[in-house]
Amino acid sequence: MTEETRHGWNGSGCARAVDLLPLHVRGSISDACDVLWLEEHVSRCDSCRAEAVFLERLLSSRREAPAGLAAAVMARLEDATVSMPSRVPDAPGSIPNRPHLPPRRFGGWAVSVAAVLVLALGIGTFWMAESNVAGDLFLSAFLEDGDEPGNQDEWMVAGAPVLDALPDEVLLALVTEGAW
Amino acid sequence: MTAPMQNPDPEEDRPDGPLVQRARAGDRGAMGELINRHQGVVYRFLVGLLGDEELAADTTQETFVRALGNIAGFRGDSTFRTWLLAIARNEARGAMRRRVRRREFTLDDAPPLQDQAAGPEHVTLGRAEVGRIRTALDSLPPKQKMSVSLRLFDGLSFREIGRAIDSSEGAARVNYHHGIRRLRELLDDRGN
Repeated sequence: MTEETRHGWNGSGCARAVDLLPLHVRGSISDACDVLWLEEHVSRCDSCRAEAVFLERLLSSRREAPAGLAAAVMARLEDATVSMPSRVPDAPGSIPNRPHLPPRRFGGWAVSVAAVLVLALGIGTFWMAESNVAGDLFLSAFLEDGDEPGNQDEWMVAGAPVLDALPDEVLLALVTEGAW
Repeated sequence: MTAPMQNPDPEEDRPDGPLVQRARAGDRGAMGELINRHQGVVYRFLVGLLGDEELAADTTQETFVRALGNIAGFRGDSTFRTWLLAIARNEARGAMRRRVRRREFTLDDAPPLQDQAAGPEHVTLGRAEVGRIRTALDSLPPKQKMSVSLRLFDGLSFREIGRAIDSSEGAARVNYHHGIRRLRELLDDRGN
């Protein structure tokens, strides 16, 4: 006789019993057939009987929610005069709450894209005009000795100069010349 | 085997649907009943996540305020309890972030809870024994700890546990069994 059969272990029966035992020791199996089967199995299985005793021991250490929690929550709900912020997660069974945003309009971003393109085109035209005084000033402010005017990548972003980095006199010259 | 103990949560297996409907209509009594029905599982889940009973109590309160304040968003495709646990997990993340900012404290570094065993529920075991079991339970890896707690203390299915701990049903089952086996090793007096 093996160790398992001596103690009543019979493979799938014990596997099923071990799954059901935590529910049984707390009295929450609703199917009477399951209860009858489990009790019959445990009565002849030392291993599962020991498991049941161990689970009952663990169950006695169960923590309980602090008293007064329900009253505290209800008081806070009563006091809430504004709607709750939408932080409820996208749990199964729910439609996630989203903030009520105004409907998106096509015109908003299209205008922005067009403005950026026009600005980039204007700047490109400006750099092509080598005789332009403002252009010379602008270049001299950024180019060091030996640099070629074509090496503009470091201070250009998406075809536009980094305006924040411009000295005041260069910026003023650009505006005065009407390059913008 | 001893006779099964009386169900500690006699309300828990009743369907929540009618209560939820009443709560959505603003019925405060229904809201209170939902809290009473589920506060235990939410609290124990949060103790497992946060490793701090006081913080878990505060976060349980936040969870119910959030859930009942947004109950119109619950459509009933899952159980109300599963939905609550998802909110609790989200609230726990926020609580942990706030605590990390204050104390540079992380979930993995959470120390075992102190023995706070007290109260009328501990009538079958001595205070020291309850504390010993809780210390052993709190020392388990988070997913094992929560799988054992949700299965044994609250009777959740492995599918529902999987959703609560962001794992598959199979992983929840494995975590439960590993957790029980580890507890048996930690608490086995016969080897001492």
